[in-house]
Amino acid sequence: MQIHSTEQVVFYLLAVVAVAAALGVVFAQDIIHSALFLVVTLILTAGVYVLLSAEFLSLVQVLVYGGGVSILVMFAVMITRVRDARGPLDGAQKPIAIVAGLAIVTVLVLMISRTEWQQAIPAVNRPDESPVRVQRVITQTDKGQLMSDTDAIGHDLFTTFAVPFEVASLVLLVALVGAIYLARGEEDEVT
Amino acid sequence: MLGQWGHMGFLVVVGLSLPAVALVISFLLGLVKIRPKDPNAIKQDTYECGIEAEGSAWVQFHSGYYVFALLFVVFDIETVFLYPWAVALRQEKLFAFVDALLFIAILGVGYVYAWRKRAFEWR
Amino acid sequence: MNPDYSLLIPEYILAVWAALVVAVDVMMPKLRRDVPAYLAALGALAAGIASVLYIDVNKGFEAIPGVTIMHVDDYTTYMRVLLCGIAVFILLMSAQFVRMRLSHAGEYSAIVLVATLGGMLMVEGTELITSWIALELLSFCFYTLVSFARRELRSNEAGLKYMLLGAFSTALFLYGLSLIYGVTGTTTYDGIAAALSNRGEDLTLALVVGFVFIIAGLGFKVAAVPFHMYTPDAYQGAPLPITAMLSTTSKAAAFALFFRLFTTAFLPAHEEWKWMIALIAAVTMMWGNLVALQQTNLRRLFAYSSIGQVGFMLIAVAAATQDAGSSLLFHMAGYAVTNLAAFTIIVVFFNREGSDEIADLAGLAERQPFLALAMVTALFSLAGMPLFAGFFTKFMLFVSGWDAGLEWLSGVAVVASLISLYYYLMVIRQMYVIAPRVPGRFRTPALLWGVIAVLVVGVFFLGIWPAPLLDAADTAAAFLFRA
Repeated sequence: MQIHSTEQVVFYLLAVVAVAAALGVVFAQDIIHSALFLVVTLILTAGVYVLLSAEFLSLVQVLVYGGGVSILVMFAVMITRVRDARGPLDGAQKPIAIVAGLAIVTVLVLMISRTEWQQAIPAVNRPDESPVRVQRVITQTDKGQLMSDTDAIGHDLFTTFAVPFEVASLVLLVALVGAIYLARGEEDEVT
Repeated sequence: MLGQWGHMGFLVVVGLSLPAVALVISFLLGLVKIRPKDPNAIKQDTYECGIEAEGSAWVQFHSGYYVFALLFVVFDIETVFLYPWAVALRQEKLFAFVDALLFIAILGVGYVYAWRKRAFEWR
Repeated sequence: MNPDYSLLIPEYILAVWAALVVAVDVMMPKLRRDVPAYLAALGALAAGIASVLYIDVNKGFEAIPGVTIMHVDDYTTYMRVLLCGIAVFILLMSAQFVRMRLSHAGEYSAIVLVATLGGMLMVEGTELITSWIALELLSFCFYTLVSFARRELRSNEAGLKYMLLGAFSTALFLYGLSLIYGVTGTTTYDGIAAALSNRGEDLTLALVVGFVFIIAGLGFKVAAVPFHMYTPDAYQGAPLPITAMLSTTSKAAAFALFFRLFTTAFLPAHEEWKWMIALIAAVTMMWGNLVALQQTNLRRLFAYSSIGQVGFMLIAVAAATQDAGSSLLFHMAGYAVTNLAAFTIIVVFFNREGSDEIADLAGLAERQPFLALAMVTALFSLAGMPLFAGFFTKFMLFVSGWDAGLEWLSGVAVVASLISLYYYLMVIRQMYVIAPRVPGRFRTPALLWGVIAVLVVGVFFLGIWPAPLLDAADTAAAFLFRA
């Protein structure tokens, strides 16, 4: 393995810690430790997104996963009686799971390295950007040029994906109503 | 690319090293016997606002917290959607503005619903 | 050019109506709890009528020129009408059930409407992200609905299992989509088909892995073996009308998406995925029907029976021909009518007796001959007896599989179908031969009596004179293969 650039150094640093933390999630004896390891993995993934020039995605990752989902996980641990559930959480199927996991990793690694993915084109107006950037096939900008990541997503979101965007708000609405209905206590039955 | 993010990376490194350096210095001072080491029961106790800690930390919290966390995540995701809107708004037409207003209106319905159902009240 | 927003009027109707139902429920707390369901049924009816107006409309929803994210054609219209019809019946059978057993009737009915909306979007989506978000909308509605009886532990358990596995399958599906996007560089069905038909050989592994993930993700949604683990628990724990909806709306919409995606976008790579789906179909129909033999609970029996039916429907996806498409649409309609009839009967029985054990059906023929007779009709139709809807629809499916070169699969299907006859007959024996445990006749409420009667007539209509619906299904399927 050859190291070509500082980006690669940063990537491998992030990757090693992220994978180690992910293993920590699985192997930690204490569920609180698992949850904290999970947060580490999620935040470091945001770093990987930055390296891929997907700044918006990394923002989402920090905001939603680093913030919201971590809080949900911690609260879920807090409001349940975790003390009863301490100790390893794996069962009799552990060997099968390990074999299956390794098999999937092997296939995915083979696939990622062998496939000729859609070729990148250099970002004309951002020469200091990472040269590796998947061509935005789904975006057809009016000016025929590439935009910054968040710009491009904003543009797509309000032209091509205007309807799915509204559907997403419906999904959030259903989630909201469902969460309020299911998570509230019994007291509001009388209203 | 690392240029613009390099500054942030530098800040992260500095931020992480501050507590690390403090701990290492304290440890080194302990080695050369400058820092006194005199543990006793009160000193080893968990610090909680100066009051003696009681019971275990593993108590079951009120499930009301969870409702707020769920509401937070829903509106958190709404914010995420509005961020690219704010960035792209200048170059888009009126349509994008109306589109986002509709988005906010749909979630506004959810907000009113939560309000009417008194989901924001602590019980 | 702006996209044609008038193509989505049925969707608007459902969304606005759902909001209306909740608003009425919130504003008028004294309302009887079955009223929102009737109100919502009217909304579904209105959306269904609006959908009918789109017959012979064949137009893409071009978000920006050249990018069609949705397509309204006869395929869409057929499925829209079917989904709206299912919603009407689900809401009608829900009314009394909700009044007796659930709180928050407004939310319940509104979410049923939104689920139907999600299903309709799944049918018409011709772009990966659009289809996916529609699938999410449907799934979120079901996560809530399955655990709607929140005082009952079983419903909570069902909801939790359904949500965890559902979220997992969504992730798989999405990962599969991202691989397809990575290989083809586009998310529109047309673009993918074009990219796949002039691809190089080196893309094959990523494609196959992508197909595996997509099939696994959709397999969870339609409950195909080996992704069916949650099905019996979800069916048993969910409120009864929601069980009926899981086995109709959810399956119909997921299959519509499945078929459209695989026959328009992925057809050029047919050889890569044909064997996977054929294999899953064979395992699903055998496993579902064999395990159904041992069930003692009516809902679990129907869970496994529906798994068996999924196996039959997968034949059509594997075959991926126009005939397969029309027989899939036809079978879906027949299956929906039959299953709705069966579940309405179970709802009536459950409302009255509070039980869904097969053993408790004993002597139903004596206690309530109409229900027993209707149940026999539904069961014979599911088993595929001649004169009933199930016979023609299954027969068409098997033939289309045979014609597409999947002779062995059609053979397995016939065997599985014969096995299924046994457990359907067990239920009939319970109703007609065994003496009742609890004496006393009871009456079916007038409205539900009417609903059951209409559905039973539907079962016979499709079985004896299938031509009109079959024609409609033919026209609908032809749109997918017009290229």
